[in-house]
Amino acid sequence: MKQPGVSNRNRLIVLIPIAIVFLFPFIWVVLTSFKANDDVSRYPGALFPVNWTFENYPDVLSRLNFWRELFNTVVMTLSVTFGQIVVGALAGYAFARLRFKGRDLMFLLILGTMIIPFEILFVPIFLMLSGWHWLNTFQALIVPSIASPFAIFVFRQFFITIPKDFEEAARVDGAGPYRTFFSVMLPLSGSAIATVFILTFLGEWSNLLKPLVFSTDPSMWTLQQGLSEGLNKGANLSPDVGSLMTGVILVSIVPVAMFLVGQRYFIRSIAASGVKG
Amino acid sequence: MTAMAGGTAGTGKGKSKSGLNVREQLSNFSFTVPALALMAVFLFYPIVYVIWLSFQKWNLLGSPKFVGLDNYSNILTGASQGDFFHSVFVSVVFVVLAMPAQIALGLVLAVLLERELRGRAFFRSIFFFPMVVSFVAAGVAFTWLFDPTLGYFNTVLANIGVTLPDWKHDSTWGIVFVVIMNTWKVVGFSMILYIAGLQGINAELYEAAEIDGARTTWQRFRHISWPLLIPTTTLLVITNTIGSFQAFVPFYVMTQGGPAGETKTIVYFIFSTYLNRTGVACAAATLFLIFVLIITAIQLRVTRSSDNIY
Repeated sequence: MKQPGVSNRNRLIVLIPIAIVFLFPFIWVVLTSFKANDDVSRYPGALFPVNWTFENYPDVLSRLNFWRELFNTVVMTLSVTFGQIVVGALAGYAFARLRFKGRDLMFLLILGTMIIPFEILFVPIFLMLSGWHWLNTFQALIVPSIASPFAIFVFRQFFITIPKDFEEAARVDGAGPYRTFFSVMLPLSGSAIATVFILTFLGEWSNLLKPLVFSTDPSMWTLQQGLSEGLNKGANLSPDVGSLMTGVILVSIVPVAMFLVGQRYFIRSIAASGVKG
Repeated sequence: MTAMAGGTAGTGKGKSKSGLNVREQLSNFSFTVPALALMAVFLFYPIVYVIWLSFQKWNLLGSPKFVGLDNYSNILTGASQGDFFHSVFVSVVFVVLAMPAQIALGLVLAVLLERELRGRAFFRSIFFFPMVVSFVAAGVAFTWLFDPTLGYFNTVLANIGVTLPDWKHDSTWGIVFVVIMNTWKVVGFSMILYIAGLQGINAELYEAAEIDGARTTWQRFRHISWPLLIPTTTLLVITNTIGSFQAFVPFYVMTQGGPAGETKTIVYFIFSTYLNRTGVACAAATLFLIFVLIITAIQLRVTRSSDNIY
């Protein structure tokens, strides 16, 4: 059977150069993080460090206020992710399986809001948080992000596919909807949880606009803010490229490690995120 | 946990809505209350609030003052017109370059990687990997990789007599370099969706096409793969267009809106004005909201007419 496409050899001839181009920034960032600042300007075209140095790492750890920013980022990311899963699974289950008046209309309304980006709403939310004296607190970084139309959608689409026998068996045993949900349905929903976990984790970890507006106090900065505001801003005046690339590595290390461990799940989640709307 | 709904909760077949009493319905509805309450406060109310604010003059000191359509006329015909129209222009240029770039490259990579190949998973991971890096990290890395004085490429190319354009002081080239970074960063999304689309095509169709005279690879792609990928392409055009119109961080990190504010996108305009000219920022946000709604309406129309499975 002949399928379409070019021969394997020709495919590799095209793929290998593109792969090198894609990997190159990554390799350059890692190598540059071991360059002293003098080396960057003295041998600007050198790929490898002339004098290897490990000084950038301790230096940037303190300049970034790394541990504090890591803590802030982890608290924000995990809280939002966990909240989205709980709130989204509850609502998604109801929209998929439980009956009540106006259910489908409500779901359509929520679907409709999926396309409204945070970029449009950050000003009014900022003003609300400011009025509540929530700016520069964890709740400002967490609470507004918990209700996610996308998470509700993912869970609803998942619960719709589960055979009804599972619930009926639980009901015969006299379980109400909450017990059925927590003891039967939620334990089954690992793949939906994984999808929401991965996408929300990545989105929150990488988010810059939200902390930039809601938490301006350096003690409440996230890692992305530390890199953008602390290291990169003003770097044009006396660029310390080695430190900047160390910063790039330090803010990326957690999601990259997660990706290396769970590549299949990442790719599957991103594919699932495209099937929305 | 007040649920005593017992056997009637849920969607038991043949049971009409009226088959549930009020208490059971309330118990079922209660599952959605956390989501609805949070959405009411942080989604529905802010939509109303941003529209209301767009009719107010306010710099966050004192109290807002109703000014009717002043903010809109300010943006569309008056003082801020220059910055706002320019930001719309920057966003449009960015979308026009970024959206086709990621779709075309994503399609090429998907076609190359769809079938069995040694190292296929490895290649796929390499092209996908930038998706997990933040725009801040990618932006900072590309800023210095392509820096006109210290950058690696600039220096290497200088040896063979080629000078990189000074994209930090030229707004057109600034946008182009943001597009390069953006394509590297997000092409994995288009690639993954195209691979899924290609794998969904029945292999027998290709055999049938070959019998019908589609001999070359190009002919089979042109007459089988491409038409059957139209739903995927439509979806990617829409999601990538909306996504690219929201671009803020790539510019904030790489060009910092410069030189002289010439690379500020729509969201960047909102970000630069919200503290001092809150009403103007909200008028821009409201116009942007209307624009997103129009794009989505077009999406619904197009996907329905092309019999999209999504």
